[in-house]
Amino acid sequence: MIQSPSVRRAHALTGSNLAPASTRRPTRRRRGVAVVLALVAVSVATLLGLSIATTRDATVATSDNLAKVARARAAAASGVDLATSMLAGEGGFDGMQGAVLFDGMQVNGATVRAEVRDVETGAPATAGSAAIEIVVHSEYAGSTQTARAVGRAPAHDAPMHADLDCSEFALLGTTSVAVEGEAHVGPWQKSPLAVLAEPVRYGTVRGNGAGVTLASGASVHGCVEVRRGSFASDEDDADAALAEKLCLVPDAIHVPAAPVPEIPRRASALPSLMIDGLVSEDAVSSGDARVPARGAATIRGTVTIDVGGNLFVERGSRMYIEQSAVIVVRGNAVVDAASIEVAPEGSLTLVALGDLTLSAAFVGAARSDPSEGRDASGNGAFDGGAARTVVFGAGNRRVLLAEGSVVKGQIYAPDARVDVESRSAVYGRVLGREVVLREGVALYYDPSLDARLGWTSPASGIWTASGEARTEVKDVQVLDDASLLDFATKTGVEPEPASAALTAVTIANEAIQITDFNERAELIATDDVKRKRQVLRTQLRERAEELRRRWKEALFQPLEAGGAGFIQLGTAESRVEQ
Amino acid sequence: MPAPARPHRRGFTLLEVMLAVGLLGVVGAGIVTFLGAFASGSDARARVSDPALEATLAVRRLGALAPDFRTVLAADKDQAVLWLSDRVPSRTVHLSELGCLRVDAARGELLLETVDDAALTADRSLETEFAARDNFLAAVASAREAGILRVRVLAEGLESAAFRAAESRHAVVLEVGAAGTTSGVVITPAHAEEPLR
Repeated sequence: MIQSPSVRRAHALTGSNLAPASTRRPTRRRRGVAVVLALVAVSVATLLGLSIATTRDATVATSDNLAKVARARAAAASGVDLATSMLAGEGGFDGMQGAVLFDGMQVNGATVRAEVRDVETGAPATAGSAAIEIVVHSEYAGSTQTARAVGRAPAHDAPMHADLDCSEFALLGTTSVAVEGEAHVGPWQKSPLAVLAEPVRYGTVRGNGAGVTLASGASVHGCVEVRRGSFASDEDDADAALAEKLCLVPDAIHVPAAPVPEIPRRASALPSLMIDGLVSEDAVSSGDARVPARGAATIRGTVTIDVGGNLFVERGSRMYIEQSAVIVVRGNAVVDAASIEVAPEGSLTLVALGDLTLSAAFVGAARSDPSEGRDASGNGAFDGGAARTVVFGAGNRRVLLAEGSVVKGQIYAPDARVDVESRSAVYGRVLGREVVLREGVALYYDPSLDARLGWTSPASGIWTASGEARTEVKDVQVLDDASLLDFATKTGVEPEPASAALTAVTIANEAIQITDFNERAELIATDDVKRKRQVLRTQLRERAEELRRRWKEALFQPLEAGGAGFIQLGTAESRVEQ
Repeated sequence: MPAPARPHRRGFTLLEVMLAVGLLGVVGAGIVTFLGAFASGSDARARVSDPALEATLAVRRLGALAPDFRTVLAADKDQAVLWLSDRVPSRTVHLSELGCLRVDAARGELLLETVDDAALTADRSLETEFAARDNFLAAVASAREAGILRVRVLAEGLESAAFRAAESRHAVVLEVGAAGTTSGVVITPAHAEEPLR
């Protein structure tokens, strides 16, 4: 039997002799062990190889995924640019299907969908939206990316509107403004339009720097001072002005006087009023009125309360405005450690001809967080913002906020001195003759008050094509219906607010802090503020049309009409007659 | 009578023994490595299988916290100061708008430090406006020393992390090492913007 050399070598190594064939079977079985071991080795090697290959595959997949994400992101960013350019054109909102501007558009292989929504409400944007949010979803090979952009809506009809109540200014003095040490002026960060990061404006109507006093410790970061100067002609000019912390306005700002509503005709005057429980009808008093200590008055419906004397809202009491209330105080008004709260769909117009004193008080939108208290830190919830509460100081007396009072609303007192002191705060804006923000107080401007239709907007109806303020604007002496409609009739420009009496309602905003659009839309669906706003606007337009018609008639029949054809509301004579 | 032949009992050849020992070594090493991953008890090591992934996640977290991030103001090896937003509307840099990406080498973490809102509310004089040429690293160091920074962890379980300059001055590269490998990601704003002054 011929043995192979390897077998021989093996035998030699183990020291055995050649053995008969019958005795070699066990050896073959042992060699089987080697085969098994070899198979194990091959298996392990295969597993290792597969493992490496899988890892490589995962790495490649990760890289591929990152590339897809990058491509989808780039497509989303392009979609934002595309949506912006589409909306910038005339009628840009017309082609929208609900909130969808375009869907299924192919951008570099990605499928892109763009939605445009109103920043304040979350509802689909319209041409009337103050600010819009463009949300673009892009999908590329299973990777989805979203890009967002927020900005002011293109205002194609801005020249047809004029904001006459100076609501774009956070702090405006007809004579002077002073911000003392550790006082703060800045944007209200809880306002939905704070995302626009627009500077907050302060100054005096003259715009020459005189009368503006900022203490060294005053905090006015993010604010710009009103100064006379030409509007920026390009972006560089605008940047230069912003770098100098200036807001340039070409002309002196005209501030109409605060309105004084007429006494309601429906109610007969009482000697005095005790306001407690449910109030659902107009009420008039020739003397004082008071909300008793720890009392609770609910104002339901559209109600006017006219107080011929003084109003006292006493300690621990609460007035709750469910719908629309106008409270006129022809004497002094004092709110002492009490609150006047406005329901989410309500509005309050408080007019004080005498002194208005708020001490440890709260006036404004009903607080959604009961534990909020009087928060002067700037963290007060938006709760519908400052638009729904307007405090008019209609006389030349004094408006005082003291002892940690908080007003979430607008203070409009062009002929009165306004003092904010002892850790009080205003969430909204302040306009007064002399405004003093004393040490430790704060003013948080609500950007939703700025409709970009006023003195700082070159495109607004305040300015003529040659860049000068319309003379009719300066003819508006009082912020009342008659003056506003007169202005509208003469110029064809719709004034903002449309009606002083309805100011708070017509520019109502909603407390929307929800980021999810579906939730927002659902909330809107159950809310009728928009509808109410639309109805009121329609009413105003009808009234304006009527007055325009009368005016035209007066032109053709001057002898018969004998005047401009306007109904003068709230005059002294009419009050006497009542 | 001769004794019956004893069954022949062969041993293994040297080749078989070497092969077996080698295979056992490979298998043993695999098992030890496999068990070692568990035995190490390091959550981070288990999670961070890929430093690129961890760095990408860190950038994603930064994007979620600061979606309006504008530019990189200053950086050294251990930290990068970012202009996170223009929350004080001025298009200039304020203290409350700064964010510092910092590497905590001892804990293997990447941190984002921002100024605590509560501190600013309590003392508004802390708010400061900067010029573009100011020393932002020193400003952040002062704020850190004053204890007014809020810290968030963006990534953990890192063996190493360091910043280096990117091609764009608005961006910075974060190099992250984990599980024995190193990877870099570029931290760059979606829409870069220079401070107005």
